[in-house]
Amino acid sequence: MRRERGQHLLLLLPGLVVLGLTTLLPALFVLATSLTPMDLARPETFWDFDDPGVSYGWLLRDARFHNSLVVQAKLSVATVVLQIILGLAAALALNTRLRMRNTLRMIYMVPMVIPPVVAAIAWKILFTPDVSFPMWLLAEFGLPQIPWLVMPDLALWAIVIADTWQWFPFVLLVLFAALQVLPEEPIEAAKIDGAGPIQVFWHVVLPLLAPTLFVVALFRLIDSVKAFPLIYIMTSGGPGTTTEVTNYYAYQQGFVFSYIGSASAMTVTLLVGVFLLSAVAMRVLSRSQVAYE
Amino acid sequence: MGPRSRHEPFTLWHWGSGRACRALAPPDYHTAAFCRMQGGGVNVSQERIQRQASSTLTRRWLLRSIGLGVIPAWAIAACAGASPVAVSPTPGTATAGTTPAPTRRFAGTTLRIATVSFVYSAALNKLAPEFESRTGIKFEIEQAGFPVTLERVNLELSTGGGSYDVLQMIFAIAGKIVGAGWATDLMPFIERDKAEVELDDFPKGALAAFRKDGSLYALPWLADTTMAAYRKDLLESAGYSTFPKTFDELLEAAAKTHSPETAFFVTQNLWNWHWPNWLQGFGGDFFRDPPGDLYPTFDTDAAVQSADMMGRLVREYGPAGGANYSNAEAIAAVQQGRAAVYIDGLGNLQATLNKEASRVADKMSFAAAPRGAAGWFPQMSSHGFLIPSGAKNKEAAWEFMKWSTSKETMLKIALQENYNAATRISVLTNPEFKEKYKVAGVDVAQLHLDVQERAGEGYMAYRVVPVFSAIGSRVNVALSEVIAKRPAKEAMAALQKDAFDILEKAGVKVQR
Repeated sequence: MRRERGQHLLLLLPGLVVLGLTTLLPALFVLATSLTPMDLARPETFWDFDDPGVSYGWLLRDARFHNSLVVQAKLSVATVVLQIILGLAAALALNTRLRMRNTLRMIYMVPMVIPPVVAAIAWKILFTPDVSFPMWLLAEFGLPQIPWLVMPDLALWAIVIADTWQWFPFVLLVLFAALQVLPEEPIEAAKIDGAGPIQVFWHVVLPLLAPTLFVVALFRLIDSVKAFPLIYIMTSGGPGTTTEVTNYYAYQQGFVFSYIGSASAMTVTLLVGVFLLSAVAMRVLSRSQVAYE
Repeated sequence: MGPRSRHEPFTLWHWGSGRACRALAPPDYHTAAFCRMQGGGVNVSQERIQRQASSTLTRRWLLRSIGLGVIPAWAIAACAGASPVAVSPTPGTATAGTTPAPTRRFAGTTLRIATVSFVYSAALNKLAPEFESRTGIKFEIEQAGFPVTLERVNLELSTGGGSYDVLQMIFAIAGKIVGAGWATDLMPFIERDKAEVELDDFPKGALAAFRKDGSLYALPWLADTTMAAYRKDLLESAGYSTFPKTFDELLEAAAKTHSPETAFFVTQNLWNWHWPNWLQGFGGDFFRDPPGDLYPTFDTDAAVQSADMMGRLVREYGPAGGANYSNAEAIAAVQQGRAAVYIDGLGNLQATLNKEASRVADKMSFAAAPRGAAGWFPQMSSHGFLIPSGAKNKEAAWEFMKWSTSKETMLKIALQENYNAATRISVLTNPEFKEKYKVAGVDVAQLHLDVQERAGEGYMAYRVVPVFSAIGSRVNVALSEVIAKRPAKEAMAALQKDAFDILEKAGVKVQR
């Protein structure tokens, strides 16, 4: 047994080494640089550990960073909620005896397989009145053409819509798979007891789906922190900083201003935040799991 | 190893180095082909080649082939790393005033170059065979959009990489590049090849951003001089026989000309590039006295008024959604007749004259940008070629730079292509060039030269300080807020406060 375990480890070792080199090492590098004021244009700041908290101190004082966290929170909550609602609705619709079920499922997958940059360009065109066909149609019907991407109150919603369109198929896929393996007996029992469709859904299907819903929401939440292509292409963080999420601001700090120390500190902060959120979410999930006998 | 035959022994040698590398195995068809690719001569009998070609692939053959491929390749790479024929003279040690003829000293070198996608770079790529036939140096310029190239240049230079031999000196980060010592000082090369380079033929303004303490770090090939491209027909029908000369006249014309179908004004959303046209016209600046005194001056009346004016132009007289336009979108708006006036750099504006893409190319005209109460301060950026500090082929790169920015090459490209943003006085004053680039009777070449000369007088100094990119980014945010109707005074006050933090973070000591 021990010999077998050793052999397993040996076979796993190459993969672990590659994983370590490609994920652990860069992560350690980012952690190390976050403890310095590294500015690529000033060599004297390289690996200067005299004041390890200096970059984090900047973050505490940086109102633009605080704003980016708020924008990130708004984006994450809005996109996750909408994707869950749309994904669940589509999954329930597909989980019926529709003749065109497989075709519809393929069509629903299209947004997810389009490269994010292509999706961003497409949505930018759709939201720009001068070149957008839907906007032209609105004008033909005498309706106002609203330039979403330059309005502080609407620009973030434009990003939310584009992100939801692209990723709700992921939620759909996962929930559809979960619906397929739901036990039939509780549902039939509820129907026999006189429950209507909505009651069956609310009192039987939803509780059974809850763990999957939770996990998929967590996946989407973690992914929403990585939102970059849409913002880079559609708004560049504007107007002002209304769509500037933390990820994008960190990119500006690191790649435009060469403030590697600051960018690393932001990245580490994001990482810790996501870890904590995931840990809390998993604890809540494990306590509220529905046991079915 | 197979038996030697009665045929002459097979040898292969590395062309140019004078060394002979003895093959480790009898030659075969594949080895002969490989050797020919490397420029080596091959002395192989036909019979042997045919015999080998018909032999089956064996493990031994495969291993030998790999060995033959790896070892000569290593040897070749090791030889190519050194100078091919003789040690090239160190810049500054050659006799001053000597002008080497087009040299083939670096024949076989391939240069890696990256620039923003532009007509000049594309034209140089077309002329690459001509350069190769003169010098034996190969190159192909990799072109990409501005944001991508900006990042690529930033990343490559900041990491001291040696992947590129020549990069574009991007004006927006020229101060950072020069200040951080990321580019090679060209003065020793220029001193040696004075007669070829003719430095005085570049307008002062075109070189200003690349200088520091007597050194020069790039040679320019593109000057973006701010002027106005406008629909002559629309302004004439509103009663303007010439383009408005002052800010007030411009606003008046905007009110008379703007319509839902054709907006009056458009520009790209690079506010830190566009706004200073108005800011300095109102008597303001980014800093109190750059580059020495970087005390920010964003909360002055001039800053507030100019921000407000620019916000109104974009918001009230621009196309719907125009505040988010990139250069490509702004150009498209003009070409499709959806905007009447585009104020920006000439390098961008010339696309409005593209007859194939534009419905209104023959209705366009050009004029100087309007002036404010404090004077005429048209903005200018110059882009050039630099040699990264970490580049491996500096001498060959210098040969390329001399050729690509020479007056002969620049004039050739200007006459053959649609490129009028030249940076040589001799090109800009060439009668053929001036005639070609006249637009509706306007001498655009003279306008372009006027701005380059004016910009050399020092008011662009704010732009080439190392901390500019961080400050400029914050300026972009502030101006986009003003365009989105945040009161200019509020936005500028917030900008002023943040500017101090940015300066402090960049290690610049300024008393608040």
